[in-house]
Amino acid sequence: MVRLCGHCCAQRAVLRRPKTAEQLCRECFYAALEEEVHQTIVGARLFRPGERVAVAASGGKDSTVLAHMLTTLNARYNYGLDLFLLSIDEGISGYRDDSLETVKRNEETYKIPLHVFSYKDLYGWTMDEIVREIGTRSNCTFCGVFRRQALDRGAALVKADKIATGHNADDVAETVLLNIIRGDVPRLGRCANIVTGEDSPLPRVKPFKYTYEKEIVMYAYFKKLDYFSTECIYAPYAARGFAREFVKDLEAARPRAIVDLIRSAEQFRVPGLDGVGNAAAAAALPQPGNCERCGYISSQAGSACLWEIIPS
Amino acid sequence: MQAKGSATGALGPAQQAQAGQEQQQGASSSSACGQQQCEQAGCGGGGGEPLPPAPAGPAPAPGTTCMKCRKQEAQVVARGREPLCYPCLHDQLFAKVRNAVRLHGLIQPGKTAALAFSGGAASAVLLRFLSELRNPRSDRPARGKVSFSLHILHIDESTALGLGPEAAAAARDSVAAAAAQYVGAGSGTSVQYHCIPLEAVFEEEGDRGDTEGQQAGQAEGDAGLLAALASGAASERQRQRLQALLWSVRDPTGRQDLARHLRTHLLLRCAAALDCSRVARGDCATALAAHIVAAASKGCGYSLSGDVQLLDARHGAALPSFFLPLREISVRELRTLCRHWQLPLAEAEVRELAAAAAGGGGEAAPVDKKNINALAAAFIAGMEAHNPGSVPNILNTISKLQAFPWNELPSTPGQQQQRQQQGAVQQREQQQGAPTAAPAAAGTAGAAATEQQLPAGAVLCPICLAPLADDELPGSSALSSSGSGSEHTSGGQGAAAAAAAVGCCLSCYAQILASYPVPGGASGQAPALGGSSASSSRPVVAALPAAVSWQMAALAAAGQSAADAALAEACNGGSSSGSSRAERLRAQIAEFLLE
Repeated sequence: MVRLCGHCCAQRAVLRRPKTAEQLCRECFYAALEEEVHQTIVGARLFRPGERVAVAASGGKDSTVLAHMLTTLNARYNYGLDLFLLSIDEGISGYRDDSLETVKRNEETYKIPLHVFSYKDLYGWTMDEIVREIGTRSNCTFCGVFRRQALDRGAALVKADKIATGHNADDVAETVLLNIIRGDVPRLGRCANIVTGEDSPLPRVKPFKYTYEKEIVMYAYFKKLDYFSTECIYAPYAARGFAREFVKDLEAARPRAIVDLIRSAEQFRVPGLDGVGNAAAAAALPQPGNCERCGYISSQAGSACLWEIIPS
Repeated sequence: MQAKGSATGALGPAQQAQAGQEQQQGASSSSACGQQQCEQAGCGGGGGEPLPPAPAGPAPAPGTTCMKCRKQEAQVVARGREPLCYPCLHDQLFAKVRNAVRLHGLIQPGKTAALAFSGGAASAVLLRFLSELRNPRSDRPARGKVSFSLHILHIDESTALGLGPEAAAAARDSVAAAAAQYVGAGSGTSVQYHCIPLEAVFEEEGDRGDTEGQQAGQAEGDAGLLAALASGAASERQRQRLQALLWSVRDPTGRQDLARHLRTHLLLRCAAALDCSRVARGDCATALAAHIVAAASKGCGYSLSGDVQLLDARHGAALPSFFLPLREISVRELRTLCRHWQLPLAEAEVRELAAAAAGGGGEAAPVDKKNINALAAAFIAGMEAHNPGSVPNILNTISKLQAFPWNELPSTPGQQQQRQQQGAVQQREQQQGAPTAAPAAAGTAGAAATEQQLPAGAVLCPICLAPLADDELPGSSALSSSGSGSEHTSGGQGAAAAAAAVGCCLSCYAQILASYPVPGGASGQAPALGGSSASSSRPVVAALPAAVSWQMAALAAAGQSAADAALAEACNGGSSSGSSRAERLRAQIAEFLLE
């Protein structure tokens, strides 16, 4: 009994779409996923024609598929974007050096220029050296903050207008849960935004905000895209793991639950946002300012600048 | 009944000592209650979610002094790090209930309150504390107490749980036994116990389900409810209607949630029929944290902030309000108190506590992985074991979100007195010629007004009673400029519009009314929710209690009229931000509904 694709009803169905449980043929799956990302981009008005967009590329599945999709959609729908790949080398041996090789291959595949910046070049040390100093607690925090700065500096150096990251729906859902657990209300109000830092000179966008991780993996697998799939060696120490497990269980029970988590975050009545609450509440909400030590953007006014902690 | 209560309602002394000892040894147990009864009957409180199992906490090192009184030896560690003796733990928890009742004036002297009672640990503690606070005499005031009458309300969910008649009767008896020792008549006040089956939620119709008889139906319904409360029974026809309704819902989480919503509806209507102004619920911090995670996973982020505050008066003057005095207390502390003071509990809860204590380091019972509520409860239990500080944090985070006007606590007699004094001072100043505002009138009128001055205008989902988000308001799609995002988020194509057309919130539409594509289900093709689901939702809508489906129709209609009015206004040149437009639409819908 041959099951036909639910969309074209012509070809054989070869997969079930994790998000909607539809039985589809390959081509219709590609089309459905690409259409969804296109609608996300257009609906949220993520890009303007002529913009230089840095695609944050790690060589992993999310950034590889992002590079592939943006290149494809840019051509198909004439976004008019000037795309290039931006990679950061944190200096994690056995992990980052391998994935960078993948990005270099992507540069050739998608014919878009690649720029690599390393922690060693920008700051003078590597993540391996940091972990040797501070141990495995909070190393994800350090790495994340430094990588963000590195991406911004690198993108500014090559004169980008926007940074596109490969954060997918699963990532956003986990972040929402983590922020609820951590008690970080202002961050909770921001974490589900598809554009962050829109008032800054270098906004970041998440075209994959509603795209399921499983579907990205399937897309990369079926299209035989070249990506590097190993976990960071320091990852087992991350607090996100617990939330990740829960989100995976949720997805198994009800696929829609992932976008429902994101919807909840979009709907949270955060005092001070969008006219919720009164003026006093809005004033009480801490706004991102600037670090006193290094001048970089910071939401934690008065707390330690990480630069002070790095052994010089 | 009394003898039976003491035999089944409390752990025997030998068992209890053993349980206490096991806890002292720090045996970590996390056996989830395998009893479906417990999971779904909400053994953590009359109106709450299924309680995650509480692992035995660390015991204080021998020789530690209680940090409160600094006299007695500490016997228990509260809130993860405070060593306390049992009397101080009791006082700390009792203070929360006392503040809710006296300081915030949530139960006024001479009034009647209700308590949603399940026979679980939280219910037992709440009942004990409320009775300690209660002055049974209405003629003679007692220090530190309030004179009020109490109705203990237990909703019997045997039909929803599929219990056979014998098991159902046993469960009912054990819950009644748990409350028995508090029942009695004082002089001028009383404590009564009522058990009413969930199927009584169909009481308003009798044999006529038409909407024209709505008004007459309501009065008939109240009388019928009171009769059902007295007899504790409902008709076979109602029982079958409940079964048909629940089993028409395909999604297991949706089915469980629908049963819970109906329970809330029934609680409110019974409390109203019994003339209660407030209903106390035993929702504890652990249960609320599980509710938060589950509700967030269903897309209910907008309404969440209203569910976790002390006071929930969303129905204004139409129905009683809820208050949650145990909301900051963890389930572990409640169970500790129950064990220590040997509070009578329902059989199901007793079995679970004994299993938890005796289980030692055993494997947790399997979690129903298809049920989002169960997954959330297990997640919270895991967090509690792994990082106890994170669970109260979850409640704190959501409490910091903007609550709703109907969460505001009424101004207390103390504050009113202050206002009266201020008013008197200002009156004097006025007479001396100084210009002031005139809150004097507010001071004297305030006493009468506080109970009535509940803000109207909350637009609620008729099924789950959650306030509708801006994009769920019927008629909002006519106003919004960009429809982006809603196709990708909950439900898919057009789900928001479909929900508004039916007259309920998006989450209820998706998980209760429409059929969710079942993963690995028999049907290969799952329709997108917005498409053919209009037909798939009809059997559920038709099976709902008439009052609920009538309200849904009214909401959908009100939304249409309000949207037309708003469009006309916009055409006449009114441009404003999205959120204020939504506020206006909400206010307009609320007005239409009142008419």
